[in-house]
Amino acid sequence: MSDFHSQFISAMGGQEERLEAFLTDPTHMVRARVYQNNSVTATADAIVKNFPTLEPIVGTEFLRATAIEFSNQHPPSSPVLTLYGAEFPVFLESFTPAASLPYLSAVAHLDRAWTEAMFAENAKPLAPQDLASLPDDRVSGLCPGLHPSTRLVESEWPALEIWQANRNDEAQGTVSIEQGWFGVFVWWSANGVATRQLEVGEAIFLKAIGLGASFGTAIEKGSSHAAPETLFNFFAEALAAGVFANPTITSMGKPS
Amino acid sequence: MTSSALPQNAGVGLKPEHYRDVMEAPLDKGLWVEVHPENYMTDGGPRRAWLEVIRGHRALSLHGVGLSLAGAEPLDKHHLARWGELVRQFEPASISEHVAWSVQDGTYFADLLPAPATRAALTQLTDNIDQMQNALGRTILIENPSLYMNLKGEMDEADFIVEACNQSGCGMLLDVNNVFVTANNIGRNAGAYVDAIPADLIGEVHLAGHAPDPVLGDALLIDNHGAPIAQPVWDLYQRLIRRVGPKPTLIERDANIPPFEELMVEVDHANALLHEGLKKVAAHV
Repeated sequence: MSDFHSQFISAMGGQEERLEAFLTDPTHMVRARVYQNNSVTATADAIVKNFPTLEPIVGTEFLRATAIEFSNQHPPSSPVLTLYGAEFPVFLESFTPAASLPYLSAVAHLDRAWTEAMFAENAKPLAPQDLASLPDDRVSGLCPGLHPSTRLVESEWPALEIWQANRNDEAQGTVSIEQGWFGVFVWWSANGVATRQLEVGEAIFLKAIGLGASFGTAIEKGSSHAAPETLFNFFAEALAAGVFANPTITSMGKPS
Repeated sequence: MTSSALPQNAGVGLKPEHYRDVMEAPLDKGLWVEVHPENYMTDGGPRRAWLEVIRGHRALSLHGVGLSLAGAEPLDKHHLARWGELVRQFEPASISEHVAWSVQDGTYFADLLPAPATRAALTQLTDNIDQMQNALGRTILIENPSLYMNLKGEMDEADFIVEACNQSGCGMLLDVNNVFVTANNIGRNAGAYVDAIPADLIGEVHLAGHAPDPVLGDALLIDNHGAPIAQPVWDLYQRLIRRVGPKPTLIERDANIPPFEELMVEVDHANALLHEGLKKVAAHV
């Protein structure tokens, strides 16, 4: 690191006198704060923009202060600020000033999943017609994996209800906040980012697919918590919604 | 050398809220668009899909903010690779970056930080420009910075940038608002700066708004791209265009984004000044 660059960073951190040797006018030392302010504003703006559901819950001032605290501890490592804040939901779990809102992290996880689904690779999903000509046992043996845009968010709070009530301008009534198990699936659909509340068996099925299991095996695993007919219906719904990856049919279903 | 295939008209910084407006704007204005490639460095998604559509109808400029050309470290190869991917997909008419730095030890500072105009800094800058141009297989434009403090240097900033262009074969993106803001902030002559840049190096011009610092007021102007272009900046632009002739000119607005029609008023004004120059040339033929 050159001496100038190193001293400039120190000056941005508050040690403005480090710049004196590099300035024609020493009174300009305090102006390091302008660069610091620009930098902090840009990173905090990115967090506020990337987690839009939190603002109506905690207010602009609190969210900005939280974003600044986060960016001090986790400064961006990349200029791609659209994707900045991957660690923010986990940061919120132990952020003491937000302790009275224990579901905040879960809502942030959903915002993050929404962003990741939105900017995921535009891969063509597996479609019902891809399977139309295959015999049932062949379909059962397929191991397609999940579409790259899919995300599963699990929490002990009704994150999706809170998220839906705050994501858009129109509040959708009050949400009864009771702890339990809540699974939300997020993916890129033909109509934009889609969300769906999951039952436990459905989540087990999707997780198994994500880990490389065949449709048959995934339904078997999910059956520990759901009736097989329910899972067959869910499979058809998920297939139509485009949540499975689309490896070429000729290579699918072969024993590996 | 202009290093740019952009039309010699006014263009506009493309914002997601204006995607549809840009598509519907009359084609006869020769409107072109510029984006920060960092906002499109995703695996996929609707922004890239929109840009692909708009790219089919408008000339496109990719104007980076994060490569840190004036940094003390080698360029981030991962970031440069993503640049390359965008250049291959969108085949932009122009590629530009800043004479500034923003990355150090793996941290991105999210601002365009200044570097002193020294011989050592010039070598570092030209090495980085070479690396960018070689990686992308394209000639780039480099933009003069807005400064908030007067750094000791070994040459004038204009000479520093012209020398970097001459050594690396790149062109210059002359930001007239940055010239005005810097001149105000560190006591430099804006007109002399603009006059010092050779016409054939200028591949693009930027115009934007600024704001007084909340504490120091007009003594320190902040290049915030959040206001209409100020009259003294228009005056400086007119002085430039009368000397160098028409150049692709961008209306930049990155904060307090107004309705598209408001930006088009500034686009029309820039076009009027560009055409005024053309009429003068025609009158002398």
